[in-house]
Amino acid sequence: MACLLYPNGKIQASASFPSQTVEDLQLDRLAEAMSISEYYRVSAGELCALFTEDPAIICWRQAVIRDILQLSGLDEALSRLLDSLDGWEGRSSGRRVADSFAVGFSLEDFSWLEGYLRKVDASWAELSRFSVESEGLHTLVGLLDDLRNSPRYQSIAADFEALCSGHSAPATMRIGYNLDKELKPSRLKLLRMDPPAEKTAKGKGTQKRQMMLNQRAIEMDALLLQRLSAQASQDIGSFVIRETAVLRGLRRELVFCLSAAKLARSWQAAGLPVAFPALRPASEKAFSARDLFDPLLLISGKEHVVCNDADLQPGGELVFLTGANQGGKTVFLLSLGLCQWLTQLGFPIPAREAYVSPVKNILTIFAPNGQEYGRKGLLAEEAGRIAEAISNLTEESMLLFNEPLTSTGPEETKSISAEVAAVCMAAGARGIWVTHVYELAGERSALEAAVPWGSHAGSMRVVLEDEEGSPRFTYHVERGEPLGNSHADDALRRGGVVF
Amino acid sequence: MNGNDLLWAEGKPLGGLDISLAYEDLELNRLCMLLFPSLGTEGALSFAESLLTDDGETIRMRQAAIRELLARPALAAVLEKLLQAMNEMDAAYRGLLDNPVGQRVTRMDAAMDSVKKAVIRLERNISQQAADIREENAADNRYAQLLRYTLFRKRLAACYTEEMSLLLDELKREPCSSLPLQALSRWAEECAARDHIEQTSEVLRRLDAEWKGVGAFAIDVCMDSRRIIVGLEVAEIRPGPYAQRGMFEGAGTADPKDGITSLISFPQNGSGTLFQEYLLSQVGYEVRGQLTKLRDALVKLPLSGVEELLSLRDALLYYTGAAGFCRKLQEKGSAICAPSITEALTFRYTAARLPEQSCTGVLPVPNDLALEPGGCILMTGPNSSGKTCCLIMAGQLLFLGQLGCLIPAEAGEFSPRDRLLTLFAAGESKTGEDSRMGMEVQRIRLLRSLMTPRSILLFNEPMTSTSAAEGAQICTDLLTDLARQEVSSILVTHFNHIWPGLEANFAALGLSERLHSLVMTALETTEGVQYLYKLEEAPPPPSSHARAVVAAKGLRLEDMLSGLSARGLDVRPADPGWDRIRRGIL
Repeated sequence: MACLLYPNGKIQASASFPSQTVEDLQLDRLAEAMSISEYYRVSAGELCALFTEDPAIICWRQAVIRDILQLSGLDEALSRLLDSLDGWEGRSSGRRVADSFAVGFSLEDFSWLEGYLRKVDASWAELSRFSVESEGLHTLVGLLDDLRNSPRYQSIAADFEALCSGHSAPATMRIGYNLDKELKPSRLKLLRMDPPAEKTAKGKGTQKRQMMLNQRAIEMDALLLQRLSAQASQDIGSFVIRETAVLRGLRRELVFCLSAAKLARSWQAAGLPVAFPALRPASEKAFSARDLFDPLLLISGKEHVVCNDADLQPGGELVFLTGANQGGKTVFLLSLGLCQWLTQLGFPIPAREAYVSPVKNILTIFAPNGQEYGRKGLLAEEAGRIAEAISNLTEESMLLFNEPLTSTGPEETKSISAEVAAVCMAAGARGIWVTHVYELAGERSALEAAVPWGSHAGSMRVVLEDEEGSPRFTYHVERGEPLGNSHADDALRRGGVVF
Repeated sequence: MNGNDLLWAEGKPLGGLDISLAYEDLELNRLCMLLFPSLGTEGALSFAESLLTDDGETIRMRQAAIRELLARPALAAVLEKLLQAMNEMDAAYRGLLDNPVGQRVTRMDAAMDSVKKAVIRLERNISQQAADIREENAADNRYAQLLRYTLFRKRLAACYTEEMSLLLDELKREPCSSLPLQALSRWAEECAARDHIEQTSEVLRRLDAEWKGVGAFAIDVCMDSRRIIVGLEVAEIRPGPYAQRGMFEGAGTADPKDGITSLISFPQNGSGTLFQEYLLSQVGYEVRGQLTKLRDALVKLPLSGVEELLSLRDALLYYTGAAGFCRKLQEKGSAICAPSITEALTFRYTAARLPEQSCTGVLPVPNDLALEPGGCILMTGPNSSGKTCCLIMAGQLLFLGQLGCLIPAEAGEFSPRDRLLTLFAAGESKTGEDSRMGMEVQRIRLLRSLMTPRSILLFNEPMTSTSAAEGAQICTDLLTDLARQEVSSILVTHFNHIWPGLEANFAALGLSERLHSLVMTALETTEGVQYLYKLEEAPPPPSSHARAVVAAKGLRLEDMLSGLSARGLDVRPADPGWDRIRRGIL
């Protein structure tokens, strides 16, 4: 059952997400930033598995996350439920022993597990008091209600009691220690537990030396037994866990929804806009966003984040983005890609308002690192990546090219780039092509004329202001013809390099 | 005698080579893993770094010893085995130093301990207050030290005698010729005479048969009905360890005799360490009779050479690693040579190969490479023709040379450098901290601040993250500036058109003879481009043959269109518009 992320609880298999896109869009960093804690970390891979082009699923998730953002206290209640569910996976380390001299074995630990069973009731009571609007959260509350009344749930309590009864009230517990190479007791295990009656019967005939007890020994033994009991609890929990697949299935769903809410709150806290994009039909190939920004800038600790409007022509457009080095071209590219990705996760986006058509896939081509791929041949590596992208290209693909095909002679860069761009346009794909090959943007009408049935070709450029003869970056982009200068000499000067 | 005597001509470290800004680009960590695999990637690199030198005598001394080990594989094998045994010897030796009390415990101690403990118990009963824990621990720790001292000494003696016997046997076969191995041989003979190695081995065999020692033990924790701990008892002492699995693990398939839980790690903190000591003391007390008997026999065995032997570890690691690396090269069919030291050239290599690939992959095509001090090589050629490999080769050969190793080449000479500096084309930052251009500019600034006339700079396709015209101009300015400052450099690039400008600049500086254009050759055939992977001195070619590379990857226009058509996309391969694209619209 997956009630928060998929309508009717039916998980839909997603197409494999390109690993190159994960790397180029730095999705790992975004995933890490949205994780609600180290323990509940979400990975880019997990999130990409949620990527969907189904508007019903996207709207379903948007409604759930909107509830979490809007209903005060709901995220805390869901977090508590998450913590409770977590115990079913045997991962809780919440050992609680009131008396440090008492061995926390069996009753405390196992009664804690037993007590967990009651948390299903408690969670249902807490969540049912919120006036949720999303169908997903309605389903969750109903699921808890069904579960707490189910025969299966009732039987778990009985099974638990039966499996753990032998661990109560032991009189002697034997711990085995293995010595490591340094002759230290380094690994230990619980070997056996004897009840009082057996111990008495055995003990009479033995002449063992009673080791002298001191407080440290008692405390450490108590600690070791607690750890061993935790290990035993985990093992017993694994029996129980098989009976709780439904509950455990909710765990990651809750983590994803709470992570999405956390991400949106972090933008709000920085004074930046947040929106749920309005979905447009896929056939419109719409992408229009107001005050779009790159959320990775916040993660990098940038205090000043510039927002840009981004509009691709309906019906598909490949925009060539040119301009000065370090002027914000890559940032604009990333903000567009991340906005599309977050939209299709059903998550809030970093913009004030947006109209977005889902895409089949997001394909990225960023310059490979000379250090990693130098020996294989940078051009060969890049050509392989582009060929891979072309093989996945559809009419509804989003393409994000970042200074591609530069690791060969300048003339060859131009001619190969023109061919690849024309093919992408002919296929009807849309996206951004960041480049210093100004001719690509300058001759875009020739490209359009060559493949008139395909996507449009557009030109955008970074906006510079003149500051006493030197360019000043605004980090804004605008529609317009390429200016024909990348200001590399200025980049050198700013970097302190003068020949 | 210590390891430095075998590694450095003057018995102490001298000079070096700064590789901190080059090791990643030149993949020196992978190369070092081939030299010293037992150290792991980072360990191998930092170990090699510590041995880099610009001292000619040291380099020649190491080269001679490596050549001798190559000629005597049996001796190299014994040194490798000795090196492996040193890990265990080192741990055992440290164990002895850490447990000095174990050497002095007597039977009287046990009687005294009983009295002290009785007093402590009495005090507890009377005052109802905590006993003098420190006093109690001091008594208990004695038996932990006794146990460890005895077992470590046994382990150390066994390793030492076994390995020294093997070493002596091998060294006696024929006299050594290189200075380091002569010194090792003299030292081993002296030790053997002092420590009566053969008799010691016999005594150890007898002791081992009498008692196997302690590998694991069990403690019973006794509790009252409130689960308060009321007592501990040593329940079992055994020579072998307990099994990993417990009764829950493996869903009931484990043997219940293995215990309830699987093995877990002992908690690592301060009080945990004390408790480990406490437990070991109790176990030591239980077997104190056997331990003191064994200990008394062991301390009579002479082990005077252990400390010096352990100090040779780095030297053995270096020589066995370097010799092993050369053997791999030879097995792959590569020539090897000991490069000589010269001041007349930055380097000159004849029929040299990329070291790391020569060891692990298909043997690369050999190439000649030479550069005078303050000279510059512009390296151009088709995409994927091997330019980067040649650049890395130049860096790796210099690294190996200054490590004192032999190199995969028919002949070689070089002058030791102070810094190896690189700039390889930056990819997009994975943390978004800076743009590609920004990162390269920062790197150039850093390199220029560090370089000296004794440095060498290796560039791989820099400045591709701006317009071609601007990138080419920056490369020209950069190389001219380096020549002016007499710094040796190699630049790999596709900005082939910078050659005339460079020639003019060098001529204006009066340095024309120091500028070289090397081209990685390829043949254009009717079936495409045939790569020869051979460098030749010639002006840069007009084309980089990029079409051949992208076509091989499926990026030919026809291939792209037919592929998309086959998947049902409306790309109209027969449309006349594609002819315009083919003819070139830019």
